[in-house]
Amino acid sequence: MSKSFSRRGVLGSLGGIVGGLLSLPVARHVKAAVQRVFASAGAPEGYDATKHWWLMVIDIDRCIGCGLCAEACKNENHVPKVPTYFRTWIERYIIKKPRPGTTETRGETLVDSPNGGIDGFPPSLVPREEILKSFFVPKLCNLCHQSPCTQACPVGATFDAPDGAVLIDPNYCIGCGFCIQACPYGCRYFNPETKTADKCSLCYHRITRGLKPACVEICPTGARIFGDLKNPVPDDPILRFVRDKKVQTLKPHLGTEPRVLYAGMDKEVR
Amino acid sequence: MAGFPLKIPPQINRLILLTLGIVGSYLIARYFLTPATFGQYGWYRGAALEEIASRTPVYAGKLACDECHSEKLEMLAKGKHQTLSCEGCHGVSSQHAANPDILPVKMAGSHCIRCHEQNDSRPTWYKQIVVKDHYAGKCRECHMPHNPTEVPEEPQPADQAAKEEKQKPESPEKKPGAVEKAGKAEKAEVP
Amino acid sequence: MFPALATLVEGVPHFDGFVYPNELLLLWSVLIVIYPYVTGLVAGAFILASLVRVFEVKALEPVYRLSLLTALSFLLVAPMPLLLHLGHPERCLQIMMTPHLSSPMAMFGFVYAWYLMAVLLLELWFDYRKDFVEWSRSEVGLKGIMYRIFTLGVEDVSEPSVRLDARLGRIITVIGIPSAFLLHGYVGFIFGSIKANPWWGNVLMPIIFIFSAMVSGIALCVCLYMAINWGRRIPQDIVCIDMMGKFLFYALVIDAGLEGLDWVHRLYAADESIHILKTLASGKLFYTLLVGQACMGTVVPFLLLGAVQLFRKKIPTLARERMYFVSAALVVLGVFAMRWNVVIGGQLFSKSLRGFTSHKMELAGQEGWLVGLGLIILPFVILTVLLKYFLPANAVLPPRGETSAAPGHAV
Repeated sequence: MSKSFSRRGVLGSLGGIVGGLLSLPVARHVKAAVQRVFASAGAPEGYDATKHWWLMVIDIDRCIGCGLCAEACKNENHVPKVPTYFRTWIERYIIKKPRPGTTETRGETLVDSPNGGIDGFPPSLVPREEILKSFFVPKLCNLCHQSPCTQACPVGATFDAPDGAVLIDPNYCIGCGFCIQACPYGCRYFNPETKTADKCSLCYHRITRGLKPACVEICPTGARIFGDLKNPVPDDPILRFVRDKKVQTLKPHLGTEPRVLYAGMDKEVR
Repeated sequence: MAGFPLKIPPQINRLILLTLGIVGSYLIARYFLTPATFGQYGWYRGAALEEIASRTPVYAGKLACDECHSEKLEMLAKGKHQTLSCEGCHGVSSQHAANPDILPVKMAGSHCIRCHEQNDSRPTWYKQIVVKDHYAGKCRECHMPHNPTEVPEEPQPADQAAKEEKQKPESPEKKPGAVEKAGKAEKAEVP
Repeated sequence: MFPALATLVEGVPHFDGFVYPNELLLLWSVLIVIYPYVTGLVAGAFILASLVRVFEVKALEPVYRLSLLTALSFLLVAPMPLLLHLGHPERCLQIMMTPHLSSPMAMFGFVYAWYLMAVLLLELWFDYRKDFVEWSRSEVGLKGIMYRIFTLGVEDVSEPSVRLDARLGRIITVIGIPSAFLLHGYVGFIFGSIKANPWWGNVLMPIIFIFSAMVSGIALCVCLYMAINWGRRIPQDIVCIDMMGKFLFYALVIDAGLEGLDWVHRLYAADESIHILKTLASGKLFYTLLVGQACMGTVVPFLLLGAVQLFRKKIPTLARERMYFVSAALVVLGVFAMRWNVVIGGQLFSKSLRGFTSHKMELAGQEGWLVGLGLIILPFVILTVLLKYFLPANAVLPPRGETSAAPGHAV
């Protein structure tokens, strides 16, 4: 570091400034050449991100825990097929009956998600007569309005796209992991293959082509509802869902204002 | 330091030059190294949107199936399985959609129980069976996968069944243990 | 507390209760423990130096240059753990090119550059300029050229010029104190700003980091000063050590008070995270938090230093020296344990607040023991080199504003 104090270094830098100022047209040319490295092709034609506003909502009462969504997500997005990386996964909640002789209203809560639910859920270890209630909760990126991951990214590699998706730029992410720590929902992971942060992209390559995200496409019961608020279809399922159901978000006290809405969610879900 | 009319002490003079040099190099580097589309929509590369969108989809989607198999989709839409996606049972089919000669990876019938096996956590409205108490044979002896409440008029053609066996020899076709036929569409409800 | 519903799967670390699947593997390991530890030592050592320069604590003059050089050698190492842990180290400059102003981490490049170049190097330069000029005249060969480069071509060592150096140096130090607070408070803010994590997201975090930094920096200088004197067979300056011990004691009291306040508040406010944090502290972090950080790193040095403060006259000099050295060494280790507890502890429990994952450090590998050990040793290697050229044995005590002896041969 001390070396930078040499006279030659100073003169060199000064020369750089002067040279840069004198040759701005040349500089622009070089800049364009440097930046061509970042350019790419192959994107769907005619998609305008500012003309859409995507949203996914989840009906917990319809989820049967088959795990097809988590499996399809890994296939579609080339997520490492190891039980430690998921863009979407299913949690099983088992709320036990209160223990006899206590003043509890609900008993202990047990949660599990073996391999994200991809292989299905084995019969629970809790005998049926001890279960107060049980249900499945699919999880994915919560599409926060005030997304803490975007706020935390030091370089602008993760961002809220104009169409509502929260995306990661894999060619710009430095892999510091700060966004992964900042996500309260555990929706981000460090992809060991790309060495960048990774997460649900709402299957951006599908929705920009008019397809549904893989998990929505594959869900056999319609537990996941996906739509475009800027281009509602007749009797739009999302608008109907928001109107008819009592919906909640995950961890509302954190002020992240998730746009992924859950209907039929119980208080134990975190 | 003859170039400076003001009497600046030499050490300060030197440090000012140095500061200018450092800040200047930073600004020059920033000029060249900031990507072109950075800031197009916000504090990120606008080109990233296109790049992320440019990946090829893996699942073909129901619409693609409809192009050739519309009669199956019509049948599906009438019955209880109307919400199912083709690729949920038949597997990833984008290759099949591009070239019909490539058959889908998995065929129907092998994994009804993935969804219909009784589980205490499944919602009560949902049809569930305890497979070992339900029936020892094949699901398709009594249920049409594309419309499960319909009973097939005759047993499955032998050649098609054999083809499926060949396609997916490792699939857990049978649940041994029970012989009793417990009637169709029996459901077990969660307390 | 958490009956194990989960079955063990290959490739998945052992976990209890429920952990979001993406949290099973720890993301930040020993490198991110070392980073705040090293920057803390920088800030603390600088604060010690500023006691001499700004607050004119004359007794501390013997450690003035040592503490500045310590700060420099640790500051040079500070970005390395960060760089090594990145998934794409080659993209590191983006943090300077397109810094996202809402991210505390984006400030790293600027805070670091400011602190290194506008504060530490400048202060050292103003302090050493006259020596550089003299040494560049007396030394020959490469060493002479090196000193000549460091003069930056300014040869003026007339009395007004040197007086100006002293005045500018003092101004830089005055700017440097808030800068040191910024440097380390900012590191605390990186963790304190994570609202998703109840162990980190805490308004006291930056302040706790600043005071633990001061504690660790002063303690390190105590250890280094005494060790160097032993190595060079120079008698210990007990007045100076007494003074350092005093500041160490007061900084430790404030630091322990703040951390105690943090716990009192957590326990009293008792929000939804308190059960898992209590289990964390008494279970997974029992040895590093309760035994290492609280008992060995705080209570024992507190008692030792407190005893010296109360009964200074009754304790013989040699015993006092040993007590200082032991407590300073314990503090240095205790603060490392504190960083470990913050960084690793914060990732051991799930943000679902329903369970714990586990962490095993590998020996080699990017975040293994060897790399960690190397990064801890490296600043001491740099310091040895710096001492050889800038703080030779016969120039350990350069009184402020007076000519120091020409550099001789280092021990």
